[in-house]
Amino acid sequence: MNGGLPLLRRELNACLLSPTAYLVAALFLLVAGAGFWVAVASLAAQPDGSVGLVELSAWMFLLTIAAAAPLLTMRLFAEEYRSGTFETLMTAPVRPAAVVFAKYAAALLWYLAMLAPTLLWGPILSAVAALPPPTDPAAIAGAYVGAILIGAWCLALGLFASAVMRSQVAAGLLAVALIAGWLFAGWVPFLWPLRHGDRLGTWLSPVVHLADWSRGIFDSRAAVVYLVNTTLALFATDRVLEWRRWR
Amino acid sequence: MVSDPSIILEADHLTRRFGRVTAVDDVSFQIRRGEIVGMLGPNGAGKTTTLRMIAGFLCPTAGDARIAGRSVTDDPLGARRRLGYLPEHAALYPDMRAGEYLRFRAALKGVPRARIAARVDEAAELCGVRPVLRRLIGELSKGYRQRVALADALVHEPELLVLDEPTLGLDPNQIRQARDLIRSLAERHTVLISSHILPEIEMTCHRVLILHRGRLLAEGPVPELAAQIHRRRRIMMQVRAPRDELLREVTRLAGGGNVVVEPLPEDWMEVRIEARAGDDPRPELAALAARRGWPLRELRREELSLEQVFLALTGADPRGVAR
Ligand SMILES: Nc1ncnc2c1ncn2[C@@H]1O[C@H](COP(=O)(O)OP(=O)(O)O)[C@@H](O)[C@H]1O
Ligand SMILES: [Mg+2]
Repeated sequence: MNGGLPLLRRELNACLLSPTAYLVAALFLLVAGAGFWVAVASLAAQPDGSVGLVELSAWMFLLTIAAAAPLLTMRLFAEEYRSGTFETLMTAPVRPAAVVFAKYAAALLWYLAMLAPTLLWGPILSAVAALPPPTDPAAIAGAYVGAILIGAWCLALGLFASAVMRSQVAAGLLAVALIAGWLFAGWVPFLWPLRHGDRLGTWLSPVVHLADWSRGIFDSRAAVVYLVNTTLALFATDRVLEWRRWR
Repeated sequence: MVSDPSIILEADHLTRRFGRVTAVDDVSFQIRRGEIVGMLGPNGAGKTTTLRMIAGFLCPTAGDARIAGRSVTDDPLGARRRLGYLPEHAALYPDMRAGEYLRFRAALKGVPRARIAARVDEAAELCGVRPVLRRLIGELSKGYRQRVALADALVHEPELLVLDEPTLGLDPNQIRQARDLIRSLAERHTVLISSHILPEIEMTCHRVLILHRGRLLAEGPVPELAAQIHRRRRIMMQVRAPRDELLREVTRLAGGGNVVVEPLPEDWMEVRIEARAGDDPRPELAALAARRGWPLRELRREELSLEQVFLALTGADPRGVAR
């Protein structure tokens, strides 16, 4: 895409220079990484037990990403609006889609870089706590694919919020609200008994998805839902930029 | 539509509304290759909005603009590739180094990789930012930041340069440097430059567009505008001299312009001359006072305000014209 590569390079550089990004990464590694691997390790030890533990870890991970995604994305557009660089950016011969792609890709790459060190948790855990290293490759792969899909979706929501709001704080709050709304949507069918409430809940609930994936049960329909939602959020972000020319 | 290749910019009934406010109202004009055109108007006249539509930052509510024949609405990328745009209060990324920023912008604007270094070097040389290329933009003075922004506008060798109030917020010394810089650009580029200060435009441009309350009020060559304005321009002198003799001498120097002499306290006289087009008898007036040994305490040309310029140009009350 026209200008996509220089934009991506600039966004990555900006990310590498941002103290917030490192702080978020450190906190993320502390909280989510630990919880995540406790779940994987305990599952590997007792594949059929510890159902509650997996759900709990899934919740912990989701809350961590719910806090991390807005922090990583709120700056992306709001800062360009505030400083006025948005005008220089949008009058370069690049499509808004290229700008959206670059900012999103940079955030996603940072997120993947944040996630990568958790791969070491297994050996460390087994060395320190004498837990057996997780052995079920399907469960491990499932957990990571789930974390990536859900992270990608939360980052897309955060980017969208940043494009909508003129201030970083407002963008962060909107992102938290959107992510929280999505987390709790998964509860509605359980709280509100419908005929097929359970099945609907299973469809909507990220906790169920993440827990299933961490058990090595890979539901590709849920994966497709995340991919589609992410694409839609990015498309909506592109529309917001286009709308700003008309406003 | 087949367009004339010598026309680099064509604004075609450009109109922009913000809610109920019409910021730009049916503005049409053309700019030919090689011209330096000034867009003059008081604050709120719609200059920035017009230029933002040309640069593709805002979409026109109605009308269109074409850069080298490419419509900003139908072929926005093609139009923007041919344009170098310096926004009002141009902002840069403070966390980047000036050279890094210019290389980034060159790549973004499609300068081939092999040419980037040479182009950045050339633009930096032209704008006098070579010495600061390795410095962080956030640490540069306002004057240097403005020049880096200008180098950015130039870096992809655009066919048209659009500069929105490039001297705004600079100190007088920086303004002088910026003006010299813009004049040197004029040798190789086609430039559209906006300002709310008449002398700014007068000193740099060939032709002027006058915008007022969103409308194009007048347009014409700068010498013509200058002549019209200078015709109404007044010279004021305060001198201690015998009234009749003073009137006789000054009338001779004024070359047919209207002369009024009024006595002030303590034998001082105030002389007001409506100088004719292009005429400036100030050096002769000063020489006269010196020759005759008349004490001279003031000699100046009264500058017209923008509102007065509108009066001079249209012969009408500018407030009436806009309605
Ligand atoms: N984004 C905007 N939203 C609402 N009104 C605007 C906006 N931008 C400009 N205007 C209005 O349009 C008019 C022209 O403004 P502008 O183009 O900035 O004038 P100038 O650059 O000549 O000072 C002003 O009345 C201004 O308040
Ligand atoms: Mg303006």
